[in-house]
Amino acid sequence: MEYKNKILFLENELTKFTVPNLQEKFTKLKVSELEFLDLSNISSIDSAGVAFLDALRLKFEKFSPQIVNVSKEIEVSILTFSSVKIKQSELYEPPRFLEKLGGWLIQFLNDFKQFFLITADTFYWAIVGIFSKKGQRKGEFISQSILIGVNALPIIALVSFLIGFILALQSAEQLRQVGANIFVADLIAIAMTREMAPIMTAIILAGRSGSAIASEIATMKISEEIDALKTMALNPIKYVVLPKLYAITLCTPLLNIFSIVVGISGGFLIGITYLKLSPTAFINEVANIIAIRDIVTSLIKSFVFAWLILLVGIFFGFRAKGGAEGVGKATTSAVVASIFMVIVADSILGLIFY
Amino acid sequence: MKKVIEINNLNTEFGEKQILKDVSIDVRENEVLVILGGSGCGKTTLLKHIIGLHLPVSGSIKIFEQEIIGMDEGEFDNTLKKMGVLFQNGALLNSLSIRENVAIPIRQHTDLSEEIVQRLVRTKLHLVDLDEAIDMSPSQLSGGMRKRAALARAIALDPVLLFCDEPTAGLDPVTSAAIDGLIKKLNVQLNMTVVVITHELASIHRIADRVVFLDDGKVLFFGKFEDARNSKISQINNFFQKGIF
Repeated sequence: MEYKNKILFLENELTKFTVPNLQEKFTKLKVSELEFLDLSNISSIDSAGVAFLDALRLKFEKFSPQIVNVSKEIEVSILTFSSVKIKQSELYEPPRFLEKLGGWLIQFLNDFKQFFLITADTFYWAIVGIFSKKGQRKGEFISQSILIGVNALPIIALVSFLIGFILALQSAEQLRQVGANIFVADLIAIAMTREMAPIMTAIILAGRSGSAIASEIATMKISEEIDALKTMALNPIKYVVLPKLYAITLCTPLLNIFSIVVGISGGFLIGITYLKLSPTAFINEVANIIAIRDIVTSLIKSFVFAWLILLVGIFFGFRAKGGAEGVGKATTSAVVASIFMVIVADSILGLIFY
Repeated sequence: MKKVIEINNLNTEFGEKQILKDVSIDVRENEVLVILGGSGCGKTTLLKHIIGLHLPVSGSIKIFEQEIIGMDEGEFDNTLKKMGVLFQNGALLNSLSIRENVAIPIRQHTDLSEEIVQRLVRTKLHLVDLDEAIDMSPSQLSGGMRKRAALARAIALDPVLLFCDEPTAGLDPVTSAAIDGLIKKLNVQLNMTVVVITHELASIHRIADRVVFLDDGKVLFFGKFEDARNSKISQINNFFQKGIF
């Protein structure tokens, strides 16, 4: 590279490998005026080389530099790859903070509206669907019940047992100090019934079934299956969502009861081994302390959680767009949102039924 | 003429099924070689062997006069950098914009400044006539646009050797002609060697110098395009006649 009398002489290769070096050299030359680019000694050029020439031509626009002494071959490349005439699209400017905030707010309100609409739709069809079986897939209720309910039994049993076990173990030491060993039964019974069983069941269901519902519906949405159902005059909510709704409504309370029983038996194990209580005393204490009211509260909670998980799952499923990555996003959002909403709902219900 | 790719006695099987049987072809410098054949005859498998995604059971593949089977990874990367591949469905990275997709190979394999990178991206997108789509994401584009964006990415580093897997399948005739025109232009003006898989007759007419006709994993015909059209072999005859009505 040489610079003389407003002419820049370039030689050898002008390719993606030599351009970074040349750019550096050019800055060191501190050229202020440029009228000609002499390419007589250039042996090869590629698109990066052409881009370099273009950048030079644009930088010294007021001198309108000419490319001279160029061979036929090189000229073809320059003509093909020249970007001087391409309309410069404006650089994408990321939105400012307030713009983002407004965008989020509008998005949130919109989402809220959609969620409300889909909830209304689902409950409407849930009631209509009981009386008219048309437009629902046969046998789907059973298979969904197996997927949502039966297959979740082992993991719910394990988690509930461990929760009951740990709760009893942690409180046993404290209770023993004040000689109130027997109250570990009360503690486990009430904690499991009112709080731990519904919430643990809900969290496991959100992870297992909420994600499955969201990803299934999102996949159907993205591969136009939902549209196909609509064109066959089938309501997607009735056809796809209803069996899941009935299944989750039936299974969650059952899983909840199961979880209470297994959780208390976890506490029972600690009670009779570590605290050396008699089994009869423990069972009597549990039977005395649990009121019908506690069980009803527990069941109401599990119904609410089940519907929240389902509604959040289908909401994110139906909202999915784009390609395969849309399914992943919908699933993640559904799980996070449903666990969050379950905990919020739990707090509200806890305040009401306190 | 110099041979860019030389394939000898290539055999592949998936489980029990033999996909390629004794395939021997070569690609000469600065030609457009079209690989033809019905669905499932092993066209894409052959391409995947050449670009190193699958290992054959036996045979040899030489690219730029170097055996690529058994080559170590770093060495093969250098070969890959001289090649561009356009996949059947584009294979753009969905999480990135078109601009970033085209910029991936440029940013990763060169030390060019940001200004030059942006210029290159714009040039390549202009070549495939996608100026407006530069800041869109792949899921916002139609199938044809996605293919063109993928072609822009394939030629981002001015490869010596370009592979295209069905570049015009499922596109409208105008876009198809434009893509074929671009492939021919890259081939004639910039001396790119191009290997194209296609079964669009119109495309074959427009771009092919030589053709390989695969049938059930065997090379049924390998030679000049004109000779293929006048071939007496019934499958090939069928292939060219069926498309003309």
